[in-house]
Amino acid sequence: MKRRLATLILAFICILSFCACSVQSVEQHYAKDDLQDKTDGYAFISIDCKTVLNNYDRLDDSLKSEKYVPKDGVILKKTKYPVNKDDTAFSLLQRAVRDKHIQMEFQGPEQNSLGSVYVQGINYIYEMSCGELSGWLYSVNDDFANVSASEYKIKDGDYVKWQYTCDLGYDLGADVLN
Amino acid sequence: MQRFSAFHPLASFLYFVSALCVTMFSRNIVIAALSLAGAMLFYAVLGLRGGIWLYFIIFILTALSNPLFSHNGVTVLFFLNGNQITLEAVIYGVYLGMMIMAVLMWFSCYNDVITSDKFLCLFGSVMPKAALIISMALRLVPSFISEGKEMLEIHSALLPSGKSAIKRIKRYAAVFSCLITRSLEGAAERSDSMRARGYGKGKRVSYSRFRFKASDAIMIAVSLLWIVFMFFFGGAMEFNYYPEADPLKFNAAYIIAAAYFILPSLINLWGELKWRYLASRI
Repeated sequence: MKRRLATLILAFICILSFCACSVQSVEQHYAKDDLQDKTDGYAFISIDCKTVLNNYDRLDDSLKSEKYVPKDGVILKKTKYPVNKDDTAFSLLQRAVRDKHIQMEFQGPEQNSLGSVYVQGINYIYEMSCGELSGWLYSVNDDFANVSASEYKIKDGDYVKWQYTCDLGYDLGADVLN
Repeated sequence: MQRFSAFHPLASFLYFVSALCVTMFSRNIVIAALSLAGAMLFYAVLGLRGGIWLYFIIFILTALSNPLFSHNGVTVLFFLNGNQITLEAVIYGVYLGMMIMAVLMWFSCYNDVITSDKFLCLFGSVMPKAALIISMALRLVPSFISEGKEMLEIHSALLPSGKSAIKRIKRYAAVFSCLITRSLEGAAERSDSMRARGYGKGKRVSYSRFRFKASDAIMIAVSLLWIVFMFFFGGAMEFNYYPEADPLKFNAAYIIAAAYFILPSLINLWGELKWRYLASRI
């Protein structure tokens, strides 16, 4: 009796967790297009890892390929995307990587103690892939904000740069500690 | 040599240390698989049974949970809640699961081979007090369990009681208090006995019936050579999982690794065969 009850509860939990998951094939995921929503303007985004080129010897051996680090360090050149009122620097990045099929991994707000999104890696280049002080930073109109990308609202005409740093932002001219 | 457990403690201990180190630090999926195969074979040869299901569940959980939390990897299988589940993460999860399972199984074999008297023989002279305390502490829980089982059996034979929860709790409580009293008494008695034998007066030696033979020296040399070999040539076997898993390439070191991991099973099986042959001629 007890055993049957336990199995039932386990099965119930399994079914529940399956319902909570949405499974998409690769084509379905990339086919999803939310760019045509009614827009409040346009913003620009670019992704680059130029600093890696100066610190190539510190890069993980498995990443030393033009597949992951392009020759000029530019993963996504300046591109224009429509934005809504509640779009953030992070949602713009999500839109761009989904549109261009660029790999990206992030830690959701429920996964860390800060309650905001943290971008771990873009195009297979992760935090700490190029030395211990490396990771992804963003700037809006060349200004490095002190909040998470998911908290920074984007306005019409903003230019969001996602840049890889190998030295805690100092090599990008960002004074992250102040 | 008839049995792996008949080696000098130092030889078998070194074998386990080197097998565990290589399994834990190599990060190569083939080495992990070979180690797991060797550990499973030895586990079966030693006649151990319990725990295999638990190890298998741990393996499954590790292999499944890695792709859920790690989304790095070139080969995307499908998207789950907007996160990519990749083949590379699955491979790495399988590697991790195999490594953990192999380590656990080597430790089970270690427990069977390195008995407490061997442990005392090894460390009794280097750190006598710590070795004694460790071997006593390790013995505590198993002896508690076996004594408790015995008492429960006696209790249920003498005072058959119903199956209701309250009656069962009463029975367990009685047995538990009995067990505590007995272990406290045992501790007092043990310390009395130790004092009577002069524990703490002068240097402590422990009885050891192990002799160091030529085969032990060979075993130790093999273990040390293996560690040195892996230390210098392990780099050539380095295996990258992210962002793209390396293709499996044949490496001569894999044959050496396989031979090394099945060595104890081979020794035991050879002893068994020889014993059967000799017994058949009586």
